[in-house]
Amino acid sequence: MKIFGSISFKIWIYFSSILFISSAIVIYYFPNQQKQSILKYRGNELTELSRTIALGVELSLDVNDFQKLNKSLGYYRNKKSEFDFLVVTQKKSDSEKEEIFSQISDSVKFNFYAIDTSKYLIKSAVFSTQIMNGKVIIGLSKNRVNNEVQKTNLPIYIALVFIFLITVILFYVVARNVSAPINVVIYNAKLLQEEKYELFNIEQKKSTDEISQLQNALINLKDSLLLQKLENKNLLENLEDKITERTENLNLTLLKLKEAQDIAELGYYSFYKNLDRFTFSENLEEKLLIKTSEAKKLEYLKSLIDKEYINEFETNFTKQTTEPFSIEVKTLLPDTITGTFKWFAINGKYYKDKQTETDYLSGTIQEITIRKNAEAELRKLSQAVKNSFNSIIITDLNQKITWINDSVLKLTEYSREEIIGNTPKMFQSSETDLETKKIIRESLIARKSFKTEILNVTKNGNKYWLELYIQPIFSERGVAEGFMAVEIDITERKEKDKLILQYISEIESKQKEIVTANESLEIKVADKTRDLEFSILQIQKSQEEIVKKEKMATLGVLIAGIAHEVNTPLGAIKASVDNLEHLFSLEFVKAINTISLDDLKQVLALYTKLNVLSTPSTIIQRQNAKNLLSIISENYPEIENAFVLSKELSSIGFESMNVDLIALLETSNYANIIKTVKLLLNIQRSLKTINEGAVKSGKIIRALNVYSHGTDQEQQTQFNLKENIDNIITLLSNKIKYHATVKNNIPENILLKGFEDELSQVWTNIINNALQASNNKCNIVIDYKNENNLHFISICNDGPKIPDIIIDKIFDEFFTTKKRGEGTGLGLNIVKSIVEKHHGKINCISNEKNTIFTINLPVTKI
Amino acid sequence: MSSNKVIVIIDDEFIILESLSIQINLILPANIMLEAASSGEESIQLINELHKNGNELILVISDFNLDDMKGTEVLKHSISLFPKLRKIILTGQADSAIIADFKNEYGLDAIINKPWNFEEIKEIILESVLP
Repeated sequence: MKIFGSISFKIWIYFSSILFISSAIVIYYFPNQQKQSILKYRGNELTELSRTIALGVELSLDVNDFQKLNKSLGYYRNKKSEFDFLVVTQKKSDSEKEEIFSQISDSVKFNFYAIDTSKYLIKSAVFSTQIMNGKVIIGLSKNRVNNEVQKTNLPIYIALVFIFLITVILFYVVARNVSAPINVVIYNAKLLQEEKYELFNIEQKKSTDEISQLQNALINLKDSLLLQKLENKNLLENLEDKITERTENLNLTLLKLKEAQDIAELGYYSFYKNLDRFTFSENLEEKLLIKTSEAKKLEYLKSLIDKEYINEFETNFTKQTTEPFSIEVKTLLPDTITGTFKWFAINGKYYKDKQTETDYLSGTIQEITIRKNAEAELRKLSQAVKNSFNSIIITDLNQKITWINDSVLKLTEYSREEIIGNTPKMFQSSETDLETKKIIRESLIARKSFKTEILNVTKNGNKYWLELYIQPIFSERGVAEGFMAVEIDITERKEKDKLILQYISEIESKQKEIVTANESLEIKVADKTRDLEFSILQIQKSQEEIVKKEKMATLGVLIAGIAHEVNTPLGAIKASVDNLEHLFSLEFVKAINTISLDDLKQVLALYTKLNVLSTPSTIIQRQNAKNLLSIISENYPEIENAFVLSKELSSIGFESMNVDLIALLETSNYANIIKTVKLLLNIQRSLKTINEGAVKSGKIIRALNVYSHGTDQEQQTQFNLKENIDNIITLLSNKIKYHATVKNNIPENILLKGFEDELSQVWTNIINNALQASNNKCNIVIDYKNENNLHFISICNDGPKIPDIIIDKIFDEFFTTKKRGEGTGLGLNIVKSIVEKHHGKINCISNEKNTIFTINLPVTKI
Repeated sequence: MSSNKVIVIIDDEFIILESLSIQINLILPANIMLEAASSGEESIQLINELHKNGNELILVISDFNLDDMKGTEVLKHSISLFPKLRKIILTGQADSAIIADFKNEYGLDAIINKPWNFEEIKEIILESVLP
């Protein structure tokens, strides 16, 4: 409220508060003091009075004047103004209770014992007489005292009220002269503030006091304000007009922009990278489902984007170069129209906000889903057309070729430059059917789709047939704007058709020929059969001859080796026979004639001891001779010619010093004894040699006999397989013995039934081939096993590998790897036929390590 | 030991070596030694040793088809050590181009077939023994 805020009030309240507080103190303190004083004074009075009364009572009682007593008391009954009650008590003696003797009070119902002593000022005096002791008690109510006090204080209160009134007057005066004009100033200042100049109601004051000056100042202020206001008003009006105009234009432009953006599905955005904050145009917020401020961050946008495009998007948005970028991204937002996902084209460029010195990215985002889908569609279709195996040509309405796929180039052998701009007539040839051309022409004019076959020619003059599908192409509006031709090369098919017709006619004519031929054929067949039978007989005969020749050839090979093998033992035999002749006729006779009996005994004893059947080898002999020489020279230095002696001793079988040798050397005639012993030994050895030689040569001859015997065998015989093979080994021993080995692992008890000599040829051929191929240096192993009721004989050599390209041919007739004239090439072929004649099979496998021939023959019941 | 004269016979068949050496020993003069070897390698070692010990090799009788080499090779080696050596090839085969070639180049005292006639060998031995 105005009053309470005003200065007057403030002044007044301060002043009056002080006043009141002082008054309050006075009011409280002073009367109270008065009251106390009065109470004290009254108390004293009462006390005096009681004493006086007590005295009176005493006096009365002293004279036993009860009348006087009552009279005095009655006197005081009238003096009720000085007290409220008067009580005289008596006490007859100390031991008795105090009783009321007489009382004086206002109320008849006054009961001394029931009074509230706190409300009364009570004074008493004691009297004691002979008759009666007691008290005189006077009570004065405190209320009466207070009333008195109040009465006394009344002027003070009045004075206070008076003072209060004065303050109120003061208040009024101040209010009127200070607060009121100030309020007026305030009021008018407010009016000025509110520009309600017309309500301004201060008048110029002549007085010079502060308040008037203030008011005058306000009036001046008002005047200048009014002036300014007028000026401003004019200015403002002008501005307002301009702003309105501009705003209208701006709104119009904004509206148009928004419309355009909506049509183009384009929106704009800005991105403050430091704050990770986006702002979008309204249409973008809708499209990108930006509903909260959380959505205006980079992470949210990233989450909308298809993972293939996230990298591109992120790089561009965080790169922060001043170069503008433009990207197209696929999002995960579904597009209901196309049924795919929405695509957006995003442009952006970094700018510097000059005010805040921060960089921000600003640009546009446009939805391009439809375009992208259309592009994809187009891509698919154009690829299909481009890569089509069939030739596709697109022309305008005038049949000028505007587009071809690659297959056309291949088909027509023209180049792209030669074709584009020309019409398809360039592909036609002089042989192209006129009727076909007519159909094409008419259908094109009618703008109808049609199919036909046509003969064209390539640039290089090669003719080809096409199945032609031509259809008009229409624009979006349905207006024909060109033609499309799909061409399938059917040249092959045409040719095949032609061939088929050819064949059919040929077949028909052939059929006729066949019938006639058939008739003459039967006659010819009969003739031929007769001829054939004759030829077969011839062949069989020559085959037999060839086999024989082959066998002879093999035999020839064997014999060369055999000669050597026989000559060697023969040589040894002959020499030994000569030796025996010599030894017996000359030496032996001489020895018998000259030797003494003692010596003879010694000789025989030594001879028996030294009965070495096998002479030690030459190396060992020499070694022994050396040993003996050193022993003899050491122990028997007197012996001359120790060298010759040691040789002799070693030749008869001494190896080193022993008892017999010592005994011998003790004998004086030891030289003679040694000589005689040697003689006997030589005789023995010669005989042995003859035996050995005879056995060896016999073996070979026998083997040869076995081999060549029975070339005319007519019947199958039973024979021992091991012996059969051993035989061959013997026959080939001359080739084998030096650097080759042959091991025959055939068990002793295997019996075969067949043509022994023919099978001999089999082993001979295979083993000989192995030896020849390895220059007689291979190791041959012949193994056997019995399986599935078949004899399996394998001949394995570690000679050179038979090359893969010829191994299938080795059993072929006349196939040989030897030089011309060296071999018939029939060896293995005959081997194969022999094996097959025995109902067996032969095969050969060869690798770097081994070549194995495996022959299996059926086990026949013997 | 001393400058002994030595004859060496070489054949891989032991019965040949034995029978031939008995044959030769029966007519061999006392001061001539007879050594035998049963392979080419052994014979070469033997001849080397004889040469080392200062012996004089006067005659070599060798089989043509030895286990480890041809007899002509042994003879070649022997000639290199003993140029005046007499040489006999003993063979069980009829003819050989190799033997003919060797004879042309180095000369052979005899090509003797098995079975041999000892007289021929004996002659050559006695000739070679003559000083």
